[in-house]
Amino acid sequence: MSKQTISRRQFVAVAGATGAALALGFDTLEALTAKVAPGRPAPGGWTPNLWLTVEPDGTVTIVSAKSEMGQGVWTAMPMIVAEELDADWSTVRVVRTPTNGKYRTGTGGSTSTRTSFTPLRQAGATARAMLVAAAAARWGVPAAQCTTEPGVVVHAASNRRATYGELAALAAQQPVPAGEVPLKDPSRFRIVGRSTPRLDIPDKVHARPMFGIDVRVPNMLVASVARCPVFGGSLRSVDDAKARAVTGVRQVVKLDAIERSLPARVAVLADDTWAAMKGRDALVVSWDPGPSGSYSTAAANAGYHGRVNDDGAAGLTASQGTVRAAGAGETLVEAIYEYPLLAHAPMEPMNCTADVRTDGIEIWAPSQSPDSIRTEVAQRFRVSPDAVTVHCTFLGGGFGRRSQTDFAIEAVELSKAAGRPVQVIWSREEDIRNGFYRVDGIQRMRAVLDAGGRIVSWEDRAVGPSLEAYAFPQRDNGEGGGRGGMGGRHFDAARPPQYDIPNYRVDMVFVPSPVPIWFWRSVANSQDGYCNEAFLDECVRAAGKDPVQYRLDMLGGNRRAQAVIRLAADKAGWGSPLPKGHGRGFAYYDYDGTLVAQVVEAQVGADGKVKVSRVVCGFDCGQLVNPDTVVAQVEGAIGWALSAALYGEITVVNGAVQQSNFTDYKVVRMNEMPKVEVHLVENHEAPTGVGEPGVPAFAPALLAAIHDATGKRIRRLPIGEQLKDRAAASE
Amino acid sequence: MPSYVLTVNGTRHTVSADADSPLLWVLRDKLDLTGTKFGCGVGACAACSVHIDGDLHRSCQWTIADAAGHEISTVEGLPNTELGRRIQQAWIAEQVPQCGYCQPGQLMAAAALLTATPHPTDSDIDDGMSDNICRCATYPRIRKAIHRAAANGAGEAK
Ligand code: FES
Ligand code: FES
Repeated sequence: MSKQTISRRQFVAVAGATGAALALGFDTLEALTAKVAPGRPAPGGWTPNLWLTVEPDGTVTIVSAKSEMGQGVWTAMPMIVAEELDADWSTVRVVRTPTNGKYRTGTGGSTSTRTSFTPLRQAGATARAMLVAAAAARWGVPAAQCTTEPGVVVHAASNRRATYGELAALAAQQPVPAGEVPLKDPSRFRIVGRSTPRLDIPDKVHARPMFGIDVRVPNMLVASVARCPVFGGSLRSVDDAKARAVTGVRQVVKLDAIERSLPARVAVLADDTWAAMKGRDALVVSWDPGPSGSYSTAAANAGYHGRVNDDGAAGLTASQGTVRAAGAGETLVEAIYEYPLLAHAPMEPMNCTADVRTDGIEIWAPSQSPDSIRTEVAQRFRVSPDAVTVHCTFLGGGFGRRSQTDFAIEAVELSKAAGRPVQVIWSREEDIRNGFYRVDGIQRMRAVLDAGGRIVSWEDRAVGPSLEAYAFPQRDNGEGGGRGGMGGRHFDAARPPQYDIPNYRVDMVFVPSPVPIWFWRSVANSQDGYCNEAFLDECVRAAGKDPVQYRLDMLGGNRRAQAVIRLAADKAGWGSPLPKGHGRGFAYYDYDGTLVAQVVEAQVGADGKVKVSRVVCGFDCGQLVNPDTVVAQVEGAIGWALSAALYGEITVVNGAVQQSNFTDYKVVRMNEMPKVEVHLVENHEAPTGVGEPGVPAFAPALLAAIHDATGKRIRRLPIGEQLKDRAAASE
Repeated sequence: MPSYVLTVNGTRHTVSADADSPLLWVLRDKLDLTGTKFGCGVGACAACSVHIDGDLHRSCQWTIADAAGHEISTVEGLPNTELGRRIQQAWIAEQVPQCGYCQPGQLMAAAALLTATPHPTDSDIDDGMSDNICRCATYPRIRKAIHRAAANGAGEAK
């Protein structure tokens, strides 16, 4: 029996037990309305976004529709509900929901807490109000005289108490409160804002089967796939005789390219993974490279440089005042910053299991976006969305890669071809070579400093492919560019400066590319944080100022930003002496309202190797939900950003990615990980994102530290070997 | 297909498989021990770490033919020892895992390290744990958890 169907069975068990339980479903989080659901969850025609039950034994069950990929959402979302429900946290259980249109799913962009905080609170408060109403009815007292303690309704005047479990059945008969129920004053929070052990950790420490790759469906085959290495190429011919001769190989399937999703492929289906992999390696395939067969990132980069001074070419623009050249007594600072394509390389290789039957399509996917899988599979295979069920497993890392749907579509193609369940397992080489990448590009930064060193004019021109146009074809401006400003989020580089600068102009020149590009932890902020803040350090030095004070002075009206900058600087001992050869760098980044300041201490060895010894981070994400999870996410973001800064680079030659595995797409390990000190700001402001915002400030703070230590400016990522011949690095 | 006798976590199994089958896939696909994880297949990430005759090895780099006749222990066998339980408790206390996918390999590496060096220094930890990749960068917590597990040892690790 499939292990992953355990969660489904649990879900059904919850549904079956609701006769005597308070079972509440909530409609879309944007317009939260609650309904009591007698008997079954999600009755026909009703699609609640959140599901909550209180069982007669007091167990509180919360159905999670968010994907857990290590960011702690599996625990944080229930904490918010439990807070307002005034639940006894030890009685709270979380179960997974299958994606069948009854719940809305999707996890990315550090948005879960931001968008769900208030609706989740209202859901908990609604259930609590019904439990209180039940107690008041039972005791014949006004509800206003009743209070709650964790898991208990109390009527102090008559000294009566009833547990939530005792009240559950009666609560289910109370009318759902009309309108908004009052919420707790945040100063009274006792769950939200306290570090709470994550509910998924014991299973992870016991290595229980929970990932997509652990799914076992009866009668399934395993597929291993040869993928066209050249973007946009096609299959010329394949000789599969040797593959078919491998013991355990059952079938060889040719698959066409799917635009913006999958390359041309030949899949080998076998009884187990090793047979499938051996079969795939035994294929003799000839690929037609197609129109991108001569594409290279080196030539693309040269092309970007050719366009960067082409003032008429800009696609997107944002400006204020009038940018200008340096006048008498003023200083022009100018530099070009470059960044490469990057792969996600989540630790769990891409995989998906699908079972295409006459009665519907069932999919087991480690996905950040089960809803997109459901919709796209329904469209592509011409079935009703109601016939598609997606079981979202735990994710062995997401980082944006798993918000794509390619890996699920392919599993469905292959199950359809085989007429039985198929699990597709990607090799690490396929993951590195056939992925979707963080975009490459360059940015020309220009600032004019007045006699006092203050920036009076700022220009930032980015050149490169448009993620917005690739990810949302309907938003293509007709020239391969995006239109910008989707819901206040930016997908393409060059954002307005985050400081008080009277005149600025930022724009982007779009250059289409055959390379598939996608969201990568922190999206365009990974480019903008780097270019903006690394360049700002150049301005600071040109002005002869202190990097911390300079930023504070340009953020005069922004107390929260100033506070987080001071916090990081103070905790790091900014200005205190460092050992010889060590340098210290600073960067600040406002990530959609999450304010991040980082101090990096680093040294460069005689061999040019960079060693980061310490990172101090001030972090303000508004109301904290699970503070220890926030600390963990910031630690992880810094390790992630360090890997990219030191090593991360995908290069393309003749249309094909040159890297293949962790051997040549290196990531940091234990001995390279710095000491990380995270200092959280505690407040009750609206909560903002946590998983991504730690990334953008790191690279520029590191580059500033390297400059402090060596006098060398790095303006091209990754750092790689650029410091090897330190004399050759340019100032 | 030839058949082999494998001893895994103290249990003997007879498995038919091609001689070149990596131990990793035999454990996962034939013995349904899915705790051992595939990360790279080329010996570069250590997600697939197991103990063979008490030593740390990458199961993607061992064939079934090589592994037959040896004592293999996997992450599923970790709770069978006092040290294994102590490490798991420390991992929970320090809230180490994020996505969790690399953790079976990290736990097995930590068990090997603490067996050889019951009270490791930071530099022992760097030496013993740097074959293992964690893409979530849980390294600072792994370090703390190893120190915690060492401190919680009653005396000699069993
Ligand atoms: S899977 Fe064996 S070392 Fe990576
Ligand atoms: S916890 Fe995610 S790879 Fe280590």
